[in-house]
Amino acid sequence: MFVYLKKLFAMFLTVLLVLLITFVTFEIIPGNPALSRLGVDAQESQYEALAAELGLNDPLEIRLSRWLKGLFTGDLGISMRYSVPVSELILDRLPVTISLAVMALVLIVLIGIPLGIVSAKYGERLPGILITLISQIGMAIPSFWSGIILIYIFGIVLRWVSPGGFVPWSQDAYGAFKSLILPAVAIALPSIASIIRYTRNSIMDQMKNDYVQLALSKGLNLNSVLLRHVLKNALIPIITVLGMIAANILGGSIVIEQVFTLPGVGRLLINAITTRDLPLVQGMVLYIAFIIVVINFFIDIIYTVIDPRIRLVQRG
Amino acid sequence: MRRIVLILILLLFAVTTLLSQRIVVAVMQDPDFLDPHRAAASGTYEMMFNVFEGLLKPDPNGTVIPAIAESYSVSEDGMLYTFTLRSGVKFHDGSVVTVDDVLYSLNRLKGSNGERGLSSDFEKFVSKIEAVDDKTVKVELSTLNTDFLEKFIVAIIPESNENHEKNPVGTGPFRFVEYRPGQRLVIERFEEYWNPELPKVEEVEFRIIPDNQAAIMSFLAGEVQILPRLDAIQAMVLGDRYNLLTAEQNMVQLMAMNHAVEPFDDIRIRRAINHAVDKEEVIEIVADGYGTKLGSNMSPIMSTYYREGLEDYYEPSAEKAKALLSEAGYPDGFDTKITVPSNYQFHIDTAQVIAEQLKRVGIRAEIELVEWSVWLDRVYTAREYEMTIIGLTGKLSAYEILRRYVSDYPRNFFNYSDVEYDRIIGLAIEKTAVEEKASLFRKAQEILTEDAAAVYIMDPNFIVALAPNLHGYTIYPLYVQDMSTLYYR
Repeated sequence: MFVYLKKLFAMFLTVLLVLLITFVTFEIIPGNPALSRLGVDAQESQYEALAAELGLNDPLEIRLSRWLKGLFTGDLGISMRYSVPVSELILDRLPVTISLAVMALVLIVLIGIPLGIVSAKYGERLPGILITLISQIGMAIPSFWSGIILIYIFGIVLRWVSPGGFVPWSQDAYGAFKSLILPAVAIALPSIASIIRYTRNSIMDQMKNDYVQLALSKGLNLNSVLLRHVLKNALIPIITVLGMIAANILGGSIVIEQVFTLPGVGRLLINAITTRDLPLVQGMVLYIAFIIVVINFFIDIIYTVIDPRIRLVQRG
Repeated sequence: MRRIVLILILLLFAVTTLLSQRIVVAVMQDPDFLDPHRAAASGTYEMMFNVFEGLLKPDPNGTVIPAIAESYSVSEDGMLYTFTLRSGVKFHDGSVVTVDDVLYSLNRLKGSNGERGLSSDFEKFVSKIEAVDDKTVKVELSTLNTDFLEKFIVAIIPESNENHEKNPVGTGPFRFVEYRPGQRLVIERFEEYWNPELPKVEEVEFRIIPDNQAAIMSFLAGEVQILPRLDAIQAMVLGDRYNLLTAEQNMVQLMAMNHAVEPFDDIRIRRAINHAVDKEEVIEIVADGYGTKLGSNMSPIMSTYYREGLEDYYEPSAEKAKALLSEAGYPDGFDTKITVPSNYQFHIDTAQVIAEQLKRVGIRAEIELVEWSVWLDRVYTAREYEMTIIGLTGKLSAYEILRRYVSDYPRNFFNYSDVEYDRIIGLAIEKTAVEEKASLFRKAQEILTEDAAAVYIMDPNFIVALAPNLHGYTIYPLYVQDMSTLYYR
């Protein structure tokens, strides 16, 4: 229990530091939220009214204390660009990004791990070489590019899906699936490639161990050795990589949401930064930190499930 | 067989669009405010033009026509405006527009009872707003401004509405439905619009797609039916399979030179740069020829006020440019920086061509890309820059366009200052006779050109792509999308 508390405290400090850095950065970089909201044609009176409303003219210490107060009361504040509570904006966008991440993760696990096993089994023979080759290519292609290619093939030539037309799950589940599957594939592709390689290497490493030789000489066939003994041991490093990939997916979705015009958190973040919407950026930083904590927590749990020898105390 | 399938698909496409009567328009940015009196961004006006109307409204020819007012008159001395309201005009909430609503709206702009107004212009120029009877409103000016009539396109809104930001109510052909930040703004047909012939479609969605490439993809996939503000390269990508409309758009694309910074305070340097830039080459390369060459800060679309013949005032000539540079003490040229907002590919491309042209006369210009927010802050407001390229969107009033150069104008980011210019602009808005006023505005354009106040490049053509079965698109010399005249066939 104490281990968790310690971890939690460290996490809290990290987040606080990140938030402070964002605040300072926004102080330093040029750009003014009132100006970027109103644009070139604003009259003086309009600008002054908005600047006053957003509290931009207040001295630094007042803005800092207001910010700290919000932080400790859990109030994320009001977006400067949209005049809507930050939490409302983020919650509105969350389902899109989370569905995208989950779909991508499922694709990665369901395609990447089996292919990795096959690739390890056949090693230097044709199927193994083919899979290695394809995964090399997959890793080399950036997801925004494969995204555009996917849109072109499935959206414009075949017209199976409609890019830029997102429908919420509650409205039309099939439609939502259709609008999310391509971006999920685009995000998943490079990660599938890397998970194949990790699975392959991890299995190959395990294959060198004595227990594998024992099982084989005992007369078990290769397939059951692979699936029942080797895979279990090989999974530990794979899970670690999956955790990192899960965090990466969030980063990947920032780019992919732009390409597919999906109303997700990633696009909101880009928007918030370009319009110098500090409260919104802060809210997003908190959200991202929270997700990372949750992912790490689950990975810790999965470790103990796979390998009961791993005790949380040891890891603390 | 393939042909039958194709026909079937086309038929299906036609039927579904006919049934839905819905248009999706791609727009680049979110609205800044839904409250029409607080909104300043042209991107907002582009959409909300369909929801709000003023006593007058802009027409496609660049003049104003009666809207909520049925007729108007201006007194001989130009100080008094009288509006007669159209009877039976209704707000979207069903209530009838009354003089009180008009007074409320105009006073909100002017400011009353010690409260500040929402419009600097109404605060500055209007002295009195009063109702004569329940159909007539009089507005008296405090300072003469004969270009003030255009100001009355500003929205009339109901006094009874408690929150103009959350629940915008107007009298336009469309009623506001919903706005989802960063996603879409939806409007629907207003059944009781005073002009029973309009609008023709049921619903319009403005979909916010900041990424150009994504917008084109959505259009190609049939998700979006109107794709406005394409540049020539994108239009080429779309090809002739689509319905492309092209027109002058009353924009002035220019390269500003900061008059407060050396060496641009020297007129010889500014003239040298004007000689160094070959506008025709820029138009050819950047806009594929779809642009109108300019010579001063006015697009030919403003025909009444446009001063012809200034486009070639500085013919492209490396010799002349070099001679002027030597005369100013820079025989070997100098190093400088062109700051360009990174979200406008068109201006970036222009900067690249111009930088090459400047190199020919020895001026080494580095191109600095900055975020739009940074541009607004550092270049436009703080005026910390050497040269920059930007497009200024059109206004109905020549005064609005030209007063940017008046020395004490807050948004004179050129740091231009000329006593004679200030005097002429001041004089022009006191003239009630159109021809007298126009000749002064033309004189003002000459001064800008002679002073080489900036490099006036072009009015890039407005190109809009429409779904093949969509008709009735109206092009305005303003930053608007008129949805009321569109129909499917």
